[in-house]
Amino acid sequence: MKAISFFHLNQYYRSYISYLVLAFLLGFGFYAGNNFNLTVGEGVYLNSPYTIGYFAAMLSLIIIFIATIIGSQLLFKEWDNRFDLILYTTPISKPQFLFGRFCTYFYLVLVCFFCFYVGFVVGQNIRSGSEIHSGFHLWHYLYPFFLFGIVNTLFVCSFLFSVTFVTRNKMLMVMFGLLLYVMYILLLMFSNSPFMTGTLPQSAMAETLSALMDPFGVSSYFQNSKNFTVYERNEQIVPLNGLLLLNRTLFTVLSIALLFVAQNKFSFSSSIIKKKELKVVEQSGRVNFLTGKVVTKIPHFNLISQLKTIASFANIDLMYISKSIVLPVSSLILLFFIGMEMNAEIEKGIRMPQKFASSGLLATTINRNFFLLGALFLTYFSNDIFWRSHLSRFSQIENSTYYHSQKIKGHWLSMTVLITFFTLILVVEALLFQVSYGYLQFDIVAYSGVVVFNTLPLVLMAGVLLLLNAIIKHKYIALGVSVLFTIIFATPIIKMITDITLFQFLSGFNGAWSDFNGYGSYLTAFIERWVFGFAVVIFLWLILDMIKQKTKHIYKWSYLLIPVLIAGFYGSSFMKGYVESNEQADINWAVTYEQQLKPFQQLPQPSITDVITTIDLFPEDRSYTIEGAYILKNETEESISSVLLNFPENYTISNAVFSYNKKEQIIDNSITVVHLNQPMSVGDSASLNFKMQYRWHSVNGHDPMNAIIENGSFMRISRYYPTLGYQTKYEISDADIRKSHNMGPVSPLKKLEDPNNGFQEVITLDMTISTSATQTAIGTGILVESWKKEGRNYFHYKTLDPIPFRFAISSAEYASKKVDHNGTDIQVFYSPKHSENVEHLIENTKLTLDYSEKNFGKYPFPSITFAEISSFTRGFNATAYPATIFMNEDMAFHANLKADRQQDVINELAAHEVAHFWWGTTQINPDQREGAAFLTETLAMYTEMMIFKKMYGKDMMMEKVQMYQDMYESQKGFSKEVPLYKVDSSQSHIIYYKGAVVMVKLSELIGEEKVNEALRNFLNQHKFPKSQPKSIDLIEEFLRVTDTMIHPEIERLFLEI
Amino acid sequence: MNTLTIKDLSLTYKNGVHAIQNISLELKNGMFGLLGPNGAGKSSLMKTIVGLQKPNSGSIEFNESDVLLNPLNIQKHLGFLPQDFGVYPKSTAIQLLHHLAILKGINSKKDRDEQILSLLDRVNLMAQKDKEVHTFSGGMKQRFGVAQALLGQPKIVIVDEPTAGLDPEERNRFNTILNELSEDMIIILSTHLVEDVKNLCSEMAIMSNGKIISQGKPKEVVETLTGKIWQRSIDKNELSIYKKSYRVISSQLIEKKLVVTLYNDENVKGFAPASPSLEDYYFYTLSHLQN
Repeated sequence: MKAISFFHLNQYYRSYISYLVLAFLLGFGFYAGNNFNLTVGEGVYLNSPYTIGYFAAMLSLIIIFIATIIGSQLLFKEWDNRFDLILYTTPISKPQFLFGRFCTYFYLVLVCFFCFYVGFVVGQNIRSGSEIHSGFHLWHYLYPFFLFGIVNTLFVCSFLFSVTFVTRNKMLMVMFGLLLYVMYILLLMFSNSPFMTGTLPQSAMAETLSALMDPFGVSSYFQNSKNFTVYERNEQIVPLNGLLLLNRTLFTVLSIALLFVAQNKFSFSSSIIKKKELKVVEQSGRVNFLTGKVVTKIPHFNLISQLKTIASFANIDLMYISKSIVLPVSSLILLFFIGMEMNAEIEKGIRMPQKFASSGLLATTINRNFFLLGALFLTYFSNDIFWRSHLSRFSQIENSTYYHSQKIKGHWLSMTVLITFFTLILVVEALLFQVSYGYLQFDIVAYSGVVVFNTLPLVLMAGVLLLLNAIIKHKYIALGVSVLFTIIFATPIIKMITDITLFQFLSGFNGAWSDFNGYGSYLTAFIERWVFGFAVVIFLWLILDMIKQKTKHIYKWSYLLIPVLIAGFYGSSFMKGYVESNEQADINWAVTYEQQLKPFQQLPQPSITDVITTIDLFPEDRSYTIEGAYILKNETEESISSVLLNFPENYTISNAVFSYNKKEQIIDNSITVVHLNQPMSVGDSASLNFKMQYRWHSVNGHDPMNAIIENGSFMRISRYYPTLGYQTKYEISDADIRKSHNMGPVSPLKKLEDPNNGFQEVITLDMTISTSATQTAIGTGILVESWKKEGRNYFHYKTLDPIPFRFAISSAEYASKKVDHNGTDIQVFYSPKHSENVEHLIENTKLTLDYSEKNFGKYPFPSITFAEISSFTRGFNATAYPATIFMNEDMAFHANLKADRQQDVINELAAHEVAHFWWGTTQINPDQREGAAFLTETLAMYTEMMIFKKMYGKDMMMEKVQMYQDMYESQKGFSKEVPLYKVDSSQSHIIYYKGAVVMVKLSELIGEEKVNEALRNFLNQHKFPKSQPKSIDLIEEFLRVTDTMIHPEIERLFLEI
Repeated sequence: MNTLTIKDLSLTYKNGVHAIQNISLELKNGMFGLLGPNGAGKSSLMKTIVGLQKPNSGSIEFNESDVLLNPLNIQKHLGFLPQDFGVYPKSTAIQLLHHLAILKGINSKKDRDEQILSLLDRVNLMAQKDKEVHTFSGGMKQRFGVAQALLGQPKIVIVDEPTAGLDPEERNRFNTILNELSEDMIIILSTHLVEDVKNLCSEMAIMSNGKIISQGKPKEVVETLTGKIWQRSIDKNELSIYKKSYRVISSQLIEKKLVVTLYNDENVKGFAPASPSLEDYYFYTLSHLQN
């Protein structure tokens, strides 16, 4: 056994490549430790025991990659070199052979991972910064190495080892390695891992199951530390008990069991017998050669022959692939993995409603998940088919033929067919999903996007991978380099290398699909970039070809001009409007802004009181212009001698004029300080008139909050209007950067006890929106008038009462429905494809209006407008503006409520957003300070829960409360805990989940009637135009309506926990 | 008439081994035998001629086209059967032959079918045409190799150890095919089986350590040994004595007796004169080199 182990180990010791690989792993680990900032929660150090454990578990993923590469060489050595016939006939026993081989395998993989891990430890510990805790504790690093490094190496190695010695199929071994990776990603999704941004809350049973089944132990690690506070994460290691202990023990035992399976199934003799059994038995009897001339045929060397050769090479490749078990296995992996994702997208877990299985949804699921997996499959297949001729020793014959040089083109063709096959099966799977979920509207544009965003760039990727294999003269080095190349260029890692999206032509597409807008302008832009990339790859192929052939004729080198010209044309078309991002320049700008203009934070500035504006939308061009006029009033108690004006970035200012006291000042910079010749007295007015344009180009991507698109536009447009005074939003939040520029901490959120301004900053809004002839524009306020002119539609909106400086617009080809409810118009604008939930939305709006008017006060507007917006807008499900609620198509309008009445998202959103017309928008409008979000979002959550109770009963409401409790518990350990009355807007798990739980508890404690009474009083005391309320004002109302005996409990609910 | 001219060809591998040293040959239509022990450089020479590797110096011209500048000049007209070749797994004989035929420029399916079926028939693999080649026995695989080498209209066929692994009957038949073909093309037969060269080749050369150490017509080179070859059975212990005194060119154990063959210009006492064979010449040439 020792001889088996040491023989191969010696070979690795003697090879310089081994040391190169270890040095590379060390360096890569160092880079990861020094640069990766996988934060696991606010206030948790990067080198805390919790984070180190988490990193170690995640980093141990690399073991799959290492074990597969080493295994494909080491474990198949005898068969690859036909040495098995000799070795297996020596007096070595099966256990000796297998154990010796496994020890070598395990040792090599562990050493590689150890080097990587050591590099990581070193890299992390030479860091400095606020995210690093001082001091080094060896045990904090050793413990996770034992827990994850050793155990995961044991599992992966034994798994791949048993696959190898049971099947003796190299491709299958690699596929199973990939399968491990796929299973791992799926389990992460279900374990509520903070690493997975798309994680959906799962039931407790699902989480426990995934904790047990996770082969890498990450899920059980999370489960064991679920209730850790920030302090505990920073100071304590996650103990080896409970689910974690069970999981680690289970997989250790499983690893040993797998080795026994390998020993059981493997046999020395069967490998030899198999070869003999396959031998073709020739007919017995005399071999009779015929006499006479051998038939010859004249060969032709022309373009047709060349094309046929390429096709023949591709055919041979495809015959080999199709007969191999690897194709069905890889297809099954793809179908399974992406099928699970599709299922998850439709079902959405316990928190979200089921979605309709639309083509757009399923196509984007494929787009998000297929590319990297497809690229990894491609990496292995292209390496395998490229080297097949050499390894099978057929190359001597093949390479002596006239057209042998066409081989690589044939490989490219066969890889193209393979990718197309994978794409096709995924599209068929999506279609089957649609049929099984009963959604029979098929959108061919959505599925054509799958081809554009996946198949095409994967074809390019194949071209480049084959080039790499052609240049690198060693199969396994080529494989390693190819895998590295794929990981860099097919993942977001490429963005670390280059910001310029033109050069990311080997990446897929992670963007949105909208039933309003399809893929928008991204489809065309992507195709332009693809053509550029294709020209680049062809250029590289031509160069390689010419170097190989040592082409000297100038005219042949001139062929290179063709791809250069094509690349130039399409590249420049794609890059039109490109804005280079320069992080350092942005930082410098922000530093200068703060350093020079922060004094304005203390200086009096005028308030905007009136806004008259015209917004001309050009959806087809993805642009709009704004013309605006402000009336500015000095509402402070001091005179104002200078005014700081802030215009938004990325806008072209056509003209801007500040006028006061009959003097005009032209504004031509985005940030300008206007010095007044004569100070503006208290109560005096000035004006600002401006005109600016905005346009975005696909190359830069669009701003999700400023999405002017061909159909389904939504803009939180007030954010892009000029503002007055110092803007804290421009401040740099990173503490290290601030320190390096000798800047103090960021401007803090106003404390609860800080005094009010004494007035509310509100405006009257007069807004005219124009848009294209087929679209309807929805604004903020009441629609006063609409008309057509010169092929465009116009809409005039006005607010009847003052509103905060907050307004938004949308524009789309809408269908609409309008009803009257007790004198209030309820109108819904929606995509003609999304009519399913309109009635339900209207019914729930009526319910919420009735409840809120009865319990809190009159609805302040004559109408409510709901407008559906495209999923090109991201970041919220719905948002309320005075008299208008904008709802994202992804959430409400395309939810399949009939499938799961428990997840009635329409009920939730309608209640929540309509409630904001009381809590937020205009009536209650707290300023930005601690506890403000409690008065808007938490109260909206409370109203939502009461409406839900009314509709579905108390029992179902309490189930929902329990779900919110679980969600709060799962997130609370990642940030500092604060009581509700001091919460800030970034702590959404407190505002929404904890808030809902606490408010329901309150209603259980004092009764819903009393809560509503308190809220009604609060509203009457503090609604506009009265002074802005604080959270403590509401708590005082709760205390006022209740017996003093309950006060300690009420205070505990809001002030303590 | 086809010609292959090799001038001062040399090739040294990266590990320092001089595989080919200053080889010059001029070949015309007919069968040319290349003899030599293992490691003599025969396969290296074959691979260099067919364009699989580049020499360090020298030139190769086929029908006055420079092969080194553009290997396609020879690959257009080439049939090559390498020593110990492999095949793609999971491909049948007919599939691989079609593939190779296309690579050789036979783009008409009708032409390919006609030639391939004829060749399969000729090498007696018709019954196995739809079987996967990697499952063939050694002899069948070699016959497949012959068939593929004859695809198209080759003007030069290079066969490297073609009869290795064939039984005598198969070897005989293979030699018959080659003989028929040699009228219209150059055939280079690289082998260490002297008998094949003797029976088939009109010209031959002996290679050792990368060099051509002898060249000529088989009959003529054998005649140079007339009257100089002596044989006798001796004791095994006596062999070293004779080696010291005479040039022993070969020794064979025949029916437990050691038969020694030696070269000497004059009569050797106790030895009987023997008719020289090509094998004797081969051993004589190698021993001459060693001396």
